[in-house]
Amino acid sequence: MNVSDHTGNEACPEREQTLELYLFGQLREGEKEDLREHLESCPGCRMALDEAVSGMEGLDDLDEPPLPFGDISPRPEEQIAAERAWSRFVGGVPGRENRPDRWSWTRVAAAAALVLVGIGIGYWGLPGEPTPMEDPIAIVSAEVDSGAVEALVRAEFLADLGLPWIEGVLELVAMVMELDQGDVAVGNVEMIRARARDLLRDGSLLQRRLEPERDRIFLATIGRAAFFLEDVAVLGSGGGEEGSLRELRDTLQMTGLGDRLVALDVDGAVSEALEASGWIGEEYAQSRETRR
Amino acid sequence: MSLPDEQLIERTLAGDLEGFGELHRRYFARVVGVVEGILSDRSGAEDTVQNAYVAALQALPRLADKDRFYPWLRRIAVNRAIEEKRRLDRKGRLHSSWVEAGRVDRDADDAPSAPLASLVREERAERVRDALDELPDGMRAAVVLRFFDELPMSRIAEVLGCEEVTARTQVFRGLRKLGRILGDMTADE
Repeated sequence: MNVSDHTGNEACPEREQTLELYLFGQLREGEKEDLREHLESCPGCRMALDEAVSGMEGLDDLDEPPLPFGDISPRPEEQIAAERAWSRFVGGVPGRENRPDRWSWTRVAAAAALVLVGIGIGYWGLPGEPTPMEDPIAIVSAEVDSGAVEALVRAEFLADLGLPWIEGVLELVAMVMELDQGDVAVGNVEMIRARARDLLRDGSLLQRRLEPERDRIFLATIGRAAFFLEDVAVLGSGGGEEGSLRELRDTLQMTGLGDRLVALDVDGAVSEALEASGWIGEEYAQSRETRR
Repeated sequence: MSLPDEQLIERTLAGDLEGFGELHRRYFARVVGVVEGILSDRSGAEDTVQNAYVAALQALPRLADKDRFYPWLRRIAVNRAIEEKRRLDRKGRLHSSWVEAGRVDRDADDAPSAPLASLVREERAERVRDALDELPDGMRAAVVLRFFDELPMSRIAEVLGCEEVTARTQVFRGLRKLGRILGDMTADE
């Protein structure tokens, strides 16, 4: 609607820019003088200016500045809708139904997908069961580039962070890929964030390193990962079976992060994998008991 | 073949988040460009836009016009950017207060205000908020960004996705309309 139609007084369209600048004190003296002269002879512009001044005065009454577009934050029920979408997605990860009976270290990579799925379902809840899991801690491993990297990664997040753990889990997958092989690394949040951004932009990096089927999953997953990051401690390890486990444990101790890393048990899958690998064993059992 | 936004959204809502991944790839850089103009910080802009995507994913079922994803996302991101900018500005002002005065003068804020005056002030504020809600989206944004956030007109134009001339007109017409709505409200009382 043309504002002038409402009042029956036509503001000069070519003067609207000048009037706006005048309102915000951005006219030079000569321009102001010209406008004043015009206003004396133009009731439409005078009325328009009066109305705009009233609008500005009204805005002065606000203690808090409003948002430009009003509040369009997600509502609680919408949060659940997104969670269900995620749950359905992770439910489609291939291999989920074929969990082996016993877990060797070399199969931890395969377990990772299961753990990820398990965690996803545990946290997000199946449709109709959107109950958040307590102590959202994740263990993830990724097998990349024909077994060159087998990584066990653990991430712990504060339970009240909500979504971010998922991103952390998936970003650490990205980081493990970056580690290439045999390395142990501790990544700070900024480094991981930066890395995840790079991976987001450079899908070819993932294409090159992942198997086709898994690539589809990881690429999509990492894409989502960057949505949720808040805070995460991440460790990755790759290389030979015993060496990498020892290396990881040593690294945990050296960095003092060991205390933060407590294993998660999602429907027994993680503990089964860890115990079968002979790693941590007693320590893990104790920590699990403590958490209970 | 690239799918239209509408189909990607439908896929996302059906549980296939690959669709959302494509929406991310499609618009991330563009929205970051807009937000960077507000925050003047690339890294902060990227974080803000990531958060906006999270909000968009969560609120996706509420998006009525499915082929208008980009402007919707941009609005969410701009809101978040403005919140962040104001937070940083407050922080900066607070810091300046300490540096310049050695302390923050809280006397004015701590002074008890008369209950009646406070009530009247709150009612007036509520009326202005209602009036703002009556403005069309772009007009409201133009007014807020100009009046409260003092963004350069070029930035406002970026946010609105229009020319500067149009943005300035939006500001003026928005203020004018706001004044008229407030006048009508007063007349009705």
